[in-house]
Amino acid sequence: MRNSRNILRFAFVLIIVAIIGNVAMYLMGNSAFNIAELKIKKSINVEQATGISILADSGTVNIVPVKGDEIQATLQGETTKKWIKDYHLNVKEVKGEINIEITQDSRLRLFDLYTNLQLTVGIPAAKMSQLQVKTDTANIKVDSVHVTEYRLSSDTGDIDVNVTDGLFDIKSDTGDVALALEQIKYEISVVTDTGDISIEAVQEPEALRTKLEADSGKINVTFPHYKDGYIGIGGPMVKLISDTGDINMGNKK
Amino acid sequence: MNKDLYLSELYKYLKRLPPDERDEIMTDYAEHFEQAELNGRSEKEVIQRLGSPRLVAREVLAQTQIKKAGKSPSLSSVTRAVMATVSLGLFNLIVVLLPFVASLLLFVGVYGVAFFLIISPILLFIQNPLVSIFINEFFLMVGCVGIGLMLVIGSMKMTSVYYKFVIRYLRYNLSLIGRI
Repeated sequence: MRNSRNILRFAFVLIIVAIIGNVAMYLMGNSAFNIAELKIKKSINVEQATGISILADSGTVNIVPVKGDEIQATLQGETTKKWIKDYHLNVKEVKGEINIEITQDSRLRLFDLYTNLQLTVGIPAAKMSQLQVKTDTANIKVDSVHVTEYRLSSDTGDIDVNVTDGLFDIKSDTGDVALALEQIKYEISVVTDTGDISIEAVQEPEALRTKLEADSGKINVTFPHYKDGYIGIGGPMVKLISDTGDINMGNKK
Repeated sequence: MNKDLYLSELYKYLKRLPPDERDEIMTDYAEHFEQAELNGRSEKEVIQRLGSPRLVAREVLAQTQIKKAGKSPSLSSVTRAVMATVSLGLFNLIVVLLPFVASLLLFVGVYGVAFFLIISPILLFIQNPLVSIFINEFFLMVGCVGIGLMLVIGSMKMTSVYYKFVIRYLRYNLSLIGRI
Protein backbone atom coordinates (compact mmCIF):
# COMPACT_ATOMS: atom_id res chain seq x y z
CA MET A 1 0.00 0.00 0.00
CA ARG A 2 2.75 2.39 1.03
CA ASN A 3 4.90 1.27 -1.87
CA SER A 4 2.13 1.91 -4.37
CA ARG A 5 1.59 5.40 -2.92
CA ASN A 6 5.30 6.13 -3.34
CA ILE A 7 5.22 4.82 -6.92
CA LEU A 8 2.17 6.98 -7.66
CA ARG A 9 3.95 10.04 -6.26
CA PHE A 10 7.02 9.24 -8.33
CA ALA A 11 4.88 8.75 -11.46
CA PHE A 12 3.11 12.04 -10.81
CA VAL A 13 6.45 13.87 -10.50
CA LEU A 14 7.65 12.26 -13.76
CA ILE A 15 4.51 13.42 -15.59
CA ILE A 16 4.90 16.99 -14.28
CA VAL A 17 8.57 17.02 -15.31
CA ALA A 18 7.58 15.61 -18.71
CA ILE A 19 4.94 18.30 -19.27
CA ILE A 20 7.30 21.15 -18.32
CA GLY A 21 10.17 19.63 -20.33
CA ASN A 22 8.06 19.03 -23.42
CA VAL A 23 6.59 22.55 -23.35
CA ALA A 24 10.13 23.99 -23.10
CA MET A 25 11.40 21.74 -25.91
CA TYR A 26 8.36 22.59 -28.03
CA LEU A 27 9.06 26.31 -27.67
CA MET A 28 12.66 25.61 -28.70
CA GLY A 29 11.31 23.68 -31.70
CA ASN A 30 12.91 20.39 -30.77
CA SER A 31 10.25 18.33 -29.03
CA ALA A 32 8.64 15.15 -30.28
CA PHE A 33 5.48 17.19 -30.81
CA ASN A 34 6.93 19.66 -33.30
CA ILE A 35 5.39 19.08 -36.72
CA ALA A 36 7.11 20.05 -39.97
CA GLU A 37 6.00 20.19 -43.57
CA LEU A 38 7.48 17.87 -46.12
CA LYS A 39 7.49 18.41 -49.86
CA ILE A 40 9.56 16.43 -52.33
CA LYS A 41 8.90 16.84 -56.04
CA LYS A 42 10.41 14.72 -58.79
CA SER A 43 9.63 14.24 -62.44
CA ILE A 44 10.72 11.88 -65.18
CA ASN A 45 10.27 11.84 -68.94
CA VAL A 46 7.68 9.38 -70.09
CA GLU A 47 8.73 8.99 -73.75
CA GLN A 48 10.18 5.48 -73.44
CA ALA A 49 7.95 4.30 -70.61
CA THR A 50 4.99 2.04 -71.07
CA GLY A 51 3.98 1.41 -67.48
CA ILE A 52 4.14 2.83 -63.97
CA SER A 53 4.65 1.01 -60.71
CA ILE A 54 4.01 2.84 -57.44
CA LEU A 55 4.91 1.52 -53.99
CA ALA A 56 3.79 3.30 -50.83
CA ASP A 57 3.18 2.08 -47.29
CA SER A 58 0.90 4.64 -45.72
CA GLY A 59 -0.88 7.92 -46.41
CA THR A 60 -2.75 8.46 -49.67
CA VAL A 61 -1.73 7.83 -53.26
CA ASN A 62 -3.46 10.08 -55.79
CA ILE A 63 -3.13 9.43 -59.51
CA VAL A 64 -4.15 12.43 -61.58
CA PRO A 65 -3.73 13.55 -65.22
CA VAL A 66 -1.18 16.26 -66.12
CA LYS A 67 -0.23 18.13 -69.26
CA GLY A 68 3.13 17.62 -70.96
CA ASP A 69 5.19 14.48 -71.34
CA GLU A 70 6.60 14.05 -67.85
CA ILE A 71 5.39 11.98 -64.96
CA GLN A 72 5.37 14.20 -61.91
CA ALA A 73 5.55 12.70 -58.45
CA THR A 74 5.02 14.88 -55.40
CA LEU A 75 5.29 13.65 -51.86
CA GLN A 76 3.88 16.20 -49.45
CA GLY A 77 2.32 16.41 -46.04
CA GLU A 78 3.25 16.78 -42.42
CA THR A 79 5.29 14.70 -40.05
CA THR A 80 7.12 15.13 -36.77
CA LYS A 81 10.25 17.18 -37.23
CA LYS A 82 12.73 14.43 -36.48
CA TRP A 83 11.33 12.18 -39.22
CA ILE A 84 11.41 14.85 -41.95
CA LYS A 85 14.73 13.64 -43.40
CA ASP A 86 13.70 10.05 -43.04
CA TYR A 87 11.49 10.06 -46.13
CA HIS A 88 12.75 9.73 -49.69
CA LEU A 89 10.93 9.71 -52.97
CA ASN A 90 12.60 7.51 -55.54
CA VAL A 91 11.60 7.91 -59.18
CA LYS A 92 13.43 5.89 -61.82
CA GLU A 93 12.91 4.08 -65.09
CA VAL A 94 13.64 0.37 -65.21
CA LYS A 95 13.22 -1.41 -68.55
CA GLY A 96 10.52 0.88 -69.82
CA GLU A 97 8.64 1.00 -66.53
CA ILE A 98 8.58 4.03 -64.26
CA ASN A 99 9.10 3.00 -60.64
CA ILE A 100 7.95 5.42 -57.97
CA GLU A 101 8.59 4.46 -54.39
CA ILE A 102 8.47 6.14 -51.00
CA THR A 103 11.27 4.83 -48.81
CA GLN A 104 12.14 5.41 -45.18
CA ASP A 105 15.62 5.19 -43.66
CA SER A 106 14.46 3.87 -40.30
CA ARG A 107 13.00 0.41 -40.38
CA LEU A 108 11.97 0.35 -36.74
CA ARG A 109 9.61 3.19 -35.88
CA LEU A 110 8.01 2.82 -32.48
CA PHE A 111 7.41 6.47 -31.66
CA ASP A 112 5.81 8.45 -34.45
CA LEU A 113 3.31 10.87 -32.98
CA TYR A 114 1.97 12.33 -36.24
CA THR A 115 2.50 11.65 -39.92
CA ASN A 116 0.11 12.52 -42.73
CA LEU A 117 1.63 12.16 -46.18
CA GLN A 118 0.19 12.18 -49.63
CA LEU A 119 1.83 11.02 -52.82
CA THR A 120 0.41 12.63 -55.93
CA VAL A 121 1.47 11.15 -59.25
CA GLY A 122 0.61 13.13 -62.36
CA ILE A 123 0.39 11.04 -65.51
CA PRO A 124 0.56 12.71 -68.95
CA ALA A 125 -2.42 12.42 -71.27
CA ALA A 126 -0.54 9.99 -73.54
CA LYS A 127 -2.06 6.61 -72.88
CA MET A 128 0.16 4.23 -70.94
CA SER A 129 -0.22 0.49 -70.99
CA GLN A 130 -0.08 -0.32 -67.30
CA LEU A 131 -0.50 1.38 -63.93
CA GLN A 132 0.52 -0.66 -60.93
CA VAL A 133 0.06 0.64 -57.39
CA LYS A 134 0.80 -1.34 -54.25
CA THR A 135 0.25 -0.03 -50.72
CA ASP A 136 -0.05 -1.33 -47.16
CA THR A 137 -2.37 1.12 -45.43
CA ALA A 138 -2.45 3.94 -47.95
CA ASN A 139 -5.64 4.76 -49.81
CA ILE A 140 -5.39 4.76 -53.60
CA LYS A 141 -7.28 7.33 -55.69
CA VAL A 142 -7.10 7.26 -59.46
CA ASP A 143 -8.85 10.06 -61.26
CA SER A 144 -9.33 10.75 -64.99
CA VAL A 145 -6.12 9.14 -66.27
CA HIS A 146 -5.80 6.99 -69.40
CA VAL A 147 -4.20 3.64 -68.84
CA THR A 148 -4.99 0.34 -70.55
CA GLU A 149 -4.46 -1.91 -67.54
CA TYR A 150 -4.81 -1.07 -63.86
CA ARG A 151 -3.23 -3.33 -61.23
CA LEU A 152 -4.04 -1.91 -57.81
CA SER A 153 -3.60 -3.57 -54.43
CA SER A 154 -3.80 -2.44 -50.83
CA ASP A 155 -3.94 -4.24 -47.49
CA THR A 156 -6.15 -1.86 -45.54
CA GLY A 157 -6.50 1.21 -47.75
CA ASP A 158 -9.58 2.09 -49.80
CA ILE A 159 -9.29 2.08 -53.58
CA ASP A 160 -11.26 4.69 -55.57
CA VAL A 161 -11.04 4.79 -59.34
CA ASN A 162 -12.81 7.28 -61.56
CA VAL A 163 -11.77 6.73 -65.19
CA THR A 164 -13.28 6.09 -68.61
CA ASP A 165 -12.56 2.38 -68.96
CA GLY A 166 -9.77 -0.14 -68.67
CA LEU A 167 -8.76 -3.62 -67.67
CA PHE A 168 -8.75 -3.91 -63.88
CA ASP A 169 -7.05 -6.32 -61.51
CA ILE A 170 -7.70 -5.08 -57.97
CA LYS A 171 -6.97 -6.72 -54.63
CA SER A 172 -7.76 -5.43 -51.15
CA ASP A 173 -7.92 -7.04 -47.72
CA THR A 174 -10.06 -4.71 -45.64
CA GLY A 175 -10.32 -1.61 -47.81
CA ASP A 176 -13.39 -0.79 -49.92
CA VAL A 177 -13.09 -0.74 -53.69
CA ALA A 178 -15.15 1.69 -55.80
CA LEU A 179 -14.91 1.89 -59.59
CA ALA A 180 -16.76 4.68 -61.38
CA LEU A 181 -16.41 4.14 -65.13
CA GLU A 182 -17.76 5.54 -68.35
CA GLN A 183 -18.23 2.02 -69.68
CA ILE A 184 -17.32 -1.55 -68.89
CA LYS A 185 -15.25 -2.42 -71.93
CA TYR A 186 -12.63 -4.87 -70.65
CA GLU A 187 -12.33 -7.52 -67.97
CA ILE A 188 -12.59 -6.50 -64.35
CA SER A 189 -11.37 -8.57 -61.41
CA VAL A 190 -11.79 -7.33 -57.83
CA VAL A 191 -11.04 -9.50 -54.79
CA THR A 192 -11.45 -8.31 -51.18
CA ASP A 193 -11.62 -9.98 -47.79
CA THR A 194 -13.89 -7.60 -45.87
CA GLY A 195 -14.04 -4.55 -48.12
CA ASP A 196 -17.19 -3.62 -50.04
CA ILE A 197 -17.02 -3.60 -53.84
CA SER A 198 -18.91 -1.09 -55.96
CA ILE A 199 -18.82 -0.86 -59.77
CA GLU A 200 -20.70 1.92 -61.54
CA ALA A 201 -20.83 2.67 -65.26
CA VAL A 202 -22.45 5.57 -67.09
CA GLN A 203 -23.19 3.50 -70.18
CA GLU A 204 -25.41 0.55 -69.68
CA PRO A 205 -23.46 -2.55 -70.83
CA GLU A 206 -24.88 -4.29 -73.88
CA ALA A 207 -23.14 -7.55 -73.11
CA LEU A 208 -21.55 -8.67 -69.86
CA ARG A 209 -20.59 -11.85 -68.06
CA THR A 210 -20.26 -11.85 -64.29
CA LYS A 211 -18.93 -14.03 -61.51
CA LEU A 212 -20.05 -12.52 -58.22
CA GLU A 213 -19.24 -14.17 -54.91
CA ALA A 214 -19.90 -12.81 -51.41
CA ASP A 215 -19.80 -15.30 -48.53
CA SER A 216 -21.70 -13.23 -45.99
CA GLY A 217 -22.11 -9.93 -47.85
CA LYS A 218 -25.02 -8.86 -50.03
CA ILE A 219 -24.94 -8.85 -53.83
CA ASN A 220 -26.95 -6.22 -55.65
CA VAL A 221 -26.91 -5.65 -59.43
CA THR A 222 -29.16 -2.91 -60.80
CA PHE A 223 -28.11 -2.96 -64.47
CA PRO A 224 -31.21 -3.34 -66.66
CA HIS A 225 -31.52 -6.65 -68.52
CA TYR A 226 -29.21 -8.37 -66.03
CA LYS A 227 -30.29 -11.95 -65.57
CA ASP A 228 -28.55 -15.03 -64.13
CA GLY A 229 -25.12 -13.40 -64.24
CA TYR A 230 -25.36 -12.17 -67.85
CA ILE A 231 -26.38 -9.23 -69.95
CA GLY A 232 -26.78 -10.20 -73.61
CA ILE A 233 -24.29 -12.64 -75.10
CA GLY A 234 -20.53 -12.53 -74.52
CA GLY A 235 -19.02 -9.27 -73.38
CA PRO A 236 -16.24 -8.68 -70.86
CA MET A 237 -16.00 -10.81 -67.74
CA VAL A 238 -16.54 -9.02 -64.41
CA LYS A 239 -15.30 -11.09 -61.48
CA LEU A 240 -16.08 -9.62 -58.05
CA ILE A 241 -15.26 -11.71 -54.98
CA SER A 242 -15.55 -10.70 -51.33
CA ASP A 243 -15.67 -12.73 -48.12
CA THR A 244 -17.74 -10.43 -45.93
CA GLY A 245 -18.11 -7.27 -48.01
CA ASP A 246 -21.15 -6.24 -50.06
CA ILE A 247 -21.06 -6.20 -53.86
CA ASN A 248 -22.93 -3.53 -55.82
CA MET A 249 -23.08 -3.06 -59.59
CA GLY A 250 -25.19 -0.58 -61.46
CA ASN A 251 -25.53 2.57 -63.52
CA LYS A 252 -23.63 5.67 -62.45
CA LYS A 253 -26.09 8.34 -61.36
CA MET B 1 -28.53 -46.92 -5.18
CA ASN B 2 -28.60 -46.88 -1.39
CA LYS B 3 -27.19 -44.38 1.12
CA ASP B 4 -23.84 -46.18 1.61
CA LEU B 5 -23.17 -46.52 -2.11
CA TYR B 6 -24.18 -42.86 -2.64
CA LEU B 7 -21.86 -41.64 0.09
CA SER B 8 -18.96 -43.80 -1.07
CA GLU B 9 -19.34 -42.48 -4.62
CA LEU B 10 -19.52 -38.92 -3.33
CA TYR B 11 -16.37 -39.58 -1.29
CA LYS B 12 -14.62 -40.81 -4.42
CA TYR B 13 -15.54 -37.68 -6.41
CA LEU B 14 -14.38 -35.41 -3.58
CA LYS B 15 -10.88 -36.89 -3.54
CA ARG B 16 -9.41 -33.63 -4.83
CA LEU B 17 -10.31 -31.90 -1.57
CA PRO B 18 -7.99 -31.91 1.47
CA PRO B 19 -8.91 -34.83 3.82
CA ASP B 20 -10.25 -32.65 6.67
CA GLU B 21 -12.53 -30.67 4.31
CA ARG B 22 -13.71 -33.85 2.64
CA ASP B 23 -14.48 -35.51 5.98
CA GLU B 24 -16.44 -32.46 7.09
CA ILE B 25 -18.56 -32.52 3.94
CA MET B 26 -19.11 -36.28 4.20
CA THR B 27 -20.31 -35.85 7.81
CA ASP B 28 -22.74 -33.14 6.64
CA TYR B 29 -24.21 -35.40 3.98
CA ALA B 30 -24.42 -38.42 6.35
CA GLU B 31 -26.28 -36.19 8.84
CA HIS B 32 -28.55 -35.04 6.04
CA PHE B 33 -29.54 -38.68 5.37
CA GLU B 34 -30.09 -39.38 9.09
CA GLN B 35 -32.22 -36.25 9.50
CA ALA B 36 -34.31 -37.19 6.48
CA GLU B 37 -34.85 -40.70 7.84
CA LEU B 38 -36.04 -39.25 11.16
CA ASN B 39 -38.52 -37.13 9.22
CA GLY B 40 -39.88 -40.26 7.59
CA ARG B 41 -38.29 -39.93 4.15
CA SER B 42 -36.76 -42.93 2.45
CA GLU B 43 -33.15 -43.12 1.22
CA LYS B 44 -34.39 -43.22 -2.35
CA GLU B 45 -36.30 -39.97 -1.89
CA VAL B 46 -33.27 -38.25 -0.39
CA ILE B 47 -31.01 -39.45 -3.20
CA GLN B 48 -33.52 -38.30 -5.80
CA ARG B 49 -33.65 -34.89 -4.18
CA LEU B 50 -29.90 -34.50 -3.89
CA GLY B 51 -29.12 -35.55 -7.47
CA SER B 52 -26.25 -37.69 -8.73
CA PRO B 53 -23.12 -37.88 -6.52
CA ARG B 54 -20.99 -36.59 -9.39
CA LEU B 55 -23.09 -33.44 -9.76
CA VAL B 56 -23.19 -32.89 -5.99
CA ALA B 57 -19.41 -33.30 -5.87
CA ARG B 58 -18.95 -30.76 -8.67
CA GLU B 59 -21.10 -28.24 -6.84
CA VAL B 60 -19.20 -28.84 -3.61
CA LEU B 61 -15.87 -28.45 -5.40
CA ALA B 62 -17.05 -25.23 -7.07
CA GLN B 63 -18.24 -23.86 -3.72
CA THR B 64 -14.92 -24.75 -2.11
CA GLN B 65 -12.89 -23.14 -4.89
CA ILE B 66 -15.04 -19.98 -4.76
CA LYS B 67 -14.63 -19.85 -0.98
CA LYS B 68 -10.85 -20.22 -1.32
CA ALA B 69 -10.70 -17.54 -4.03
CA GLY B 70 -12.77 -15.25 -1.79
CA LYS B 71 -10.30 -15.70 1.06
CA SER B 72 -7.15 -15.10 -0.97
CA PRO B 73 -8.02 -13.75 -4.43
CA SER B 74 -5.29 -14.29 -7.00
CA LEU B 75 -5.20 -15.12 -10.70
CA SER B 76 -4.71 -18.84 -10.04
CA SER B 77 -7.36 -19.14 -7.29
CA VAL B 78 -9.94 -17.14 -9.30
CA THR B 79 -9.18 -19.17 -12.44
CA ARG B 80 -9.62 -22.43 -10.48
CA ALA B 81 -12.97 -21.16 -9.15
CA VAL B 82 -14.05 -20.19 -12.66
CA MET B 83 -13.07 -23.59 -14.08
CA ALA B 84 -14.87 -25.41 -11.25
CA THR B 85 -18.02 -23.37 -11.97
CA VAL B 86 -17.72 -24.00 -15.70
CA SER B 87 -17.66 -27.77 -15.03
CA LEU B 88 -21.23 -27.51 -13.67
CA GLY B 89 -22.79 -27.15 -17.08
CA LEU B 90 -22.28 -26.32 -20.73
CA PHE B 91 -24.24 -23.10 -20.30
CA ASN B 92 -21.49 -21.79 -18.01
CA LEU B 93 -19.05 -21.98 -20.90
CA ILE B 94 -20.90 -19.02 -22.40
CA VAL B 95 -21.98 -17.07 -19.32
CA VAL B 96 -18.85 -17.66 -17.21
CA LEU B 97 -15.82 -18.76 -19.21
CA LEU B 98 -16.19 -16.51 -22.26
CA PRO B 99 -16.65 -13.23 -20.30
CA PHE B 100 -13.83 -14.27 -17.96
CA VAL B 101 -11.40 -14.94 -20.81
CA ALA B 102 -12.43 -11.75 -22.63
CA SER B 103 -12.00 -9.56 -19.54
CA LEU B 104 -8.71 -11.28 -18.74
CA LEU B 105 -7.42 -10.45 -22.23
CA LEU B 106 -8.43 -6.83 -21.66
CA PHE B 107 -6.34 -6.76 -18.50
CA VAL B 108 -3.43 -8.39 -20.31
CA GLY B 109 -3.71 -5.61 -22.92
CA VAL B 110 -3.67 -2.85 -20.30
CA TYR B 111 -0.69 -4.41 -18.50
CA GLY B 112 1.02 -4.80 -21.88
CA VAL B 113 0.57 -1.10 -22.68
CA ALA B 114 1.85 -0.18 -19.21
CA PHE B 115 4.90 -2.40 -19.69
CA PHE B 116 5.54 -0.88 -23.14
CA LEU B 117 5.39 2.63 -21.68
CA ILE B 118 7.72 1.79 -18.80
CA ILE B 119 10.36 0.29 -21.07
CA SER B 120 9.87 3.02 -23.71
CA PRO B 121 13.29 4.67 -23.01
CA ILE B 122 14.99 1.37 -23.87
CA LEU B 123 12.89 1.02 -27.03
CA LEU B 124 13.67 4.60 -28.00
CA PHE B 125 17.36 3.96 -27.58
CA ILE B 126 17.08 0.88 -29.82
CA GLN B 127 15.17 2.97 -32.38
CA ASN B 128 17.49 5.98 -32.23
CA PRO B 129 20.97 5.19 -30.95
CA LEU B 130 21.87 8.82 -31.68
CA VAL B 131 22.20 10.72 -28.41
CA SER B 132 20.87 13.98 -29.95
CA ILE B 133 17.54 12.43 -30.88
CA PHE B 134 17.37 10.65 -27.55
CA ILE B 135 17.79 13.99 -25.75
CA ASN B 136 15.02 15.58 -27.88
CA GLU B 137 12.63 12.85 -26.83
CA PHE B 138 13.86 12.52 -23.25
CA PHE B 139 10.90 14.34 -21.74
CA LEU B 140 8.42 12.36 -23.82
CA MET B 141 9.95 9.17 -22.43
CA VAL B 142 9.82 10.55 -18.88
CA GLY B 143 6.09 11.15 -19.39
CA CYS B 144 5.62 7.66 -20.87
CA VAL B 145 7.31 6.05 -17.86
CA GLY B 146 5.15 8.15 -15.49
CA ILE B 147 1.94 7.19 -17.27
CA GLY B 148 3.08 3.55 -17.42
CA LEU B 149 3.68 3.45 -13.66
CA MET B 150 0.29 5.05 -12.98
CA LEU B 151 -1.33 2.54 -15.31
CA VAL B 152 0.34 -0.37 -13.47
CA ILE B 153 -0.83 0.85 -10.04
CA GLY B 154 -4.32 1.61 -11.39
CA SER B 155 -4.51 -1.77 -13.08
CA MET B 156 -3.41 -3.57 -9.92
CA LYS B 157 -6.17 -1.87 -7.96
CA MET B 158 -8.67 -2.62 -10.73
CA THR B 159 -7.53 -6.25 -10.76
CA SER B 160 -8.36 -6.77 -7.07
CA VAL B 161 -11.78 -5.14 -7.60
CA TYR B 162 -12.23 -7.37 -10.64
CA TYR B 163 -11.39 -10.53 -8.67
CA LYS B 164 -14.01 -9.60 -6.08
CA PHE B 165 -16.54 -8.98 -8.83
CA VAL B 166 -15.78 -12.35 -10.47
CA ILE B 167 -16.17 -14.18 -7.14
CA ARG B 168 -19.52 -12.46 -6.50
CA TYR B 169 -20.64 -13.37 -9.99
CA LEU B 170 -19.60 -17.01 -9.49
CA ARG B 171 -21.53 -17.14 -6.20
CA TYR B 172 -24.56 -15.71 -7.95
CA ASN B 173 -24.16 -18.23 -10.76
CA LEU B 174 -23.92 -21.09 -8.26
CA SER B 175 -27.03 -19.93 -6.41
CA LEU B 176 -28.86 -19.70 -9.72
CA ILE B 177 -27.84 -23.26 -10.64
CA GLY B 178 -28.93 -24.43 -7.16
CA ARG B 179 -32.38 -22.97 -7.76
CA ILE B 180 -32.68 -24.73 -11.11
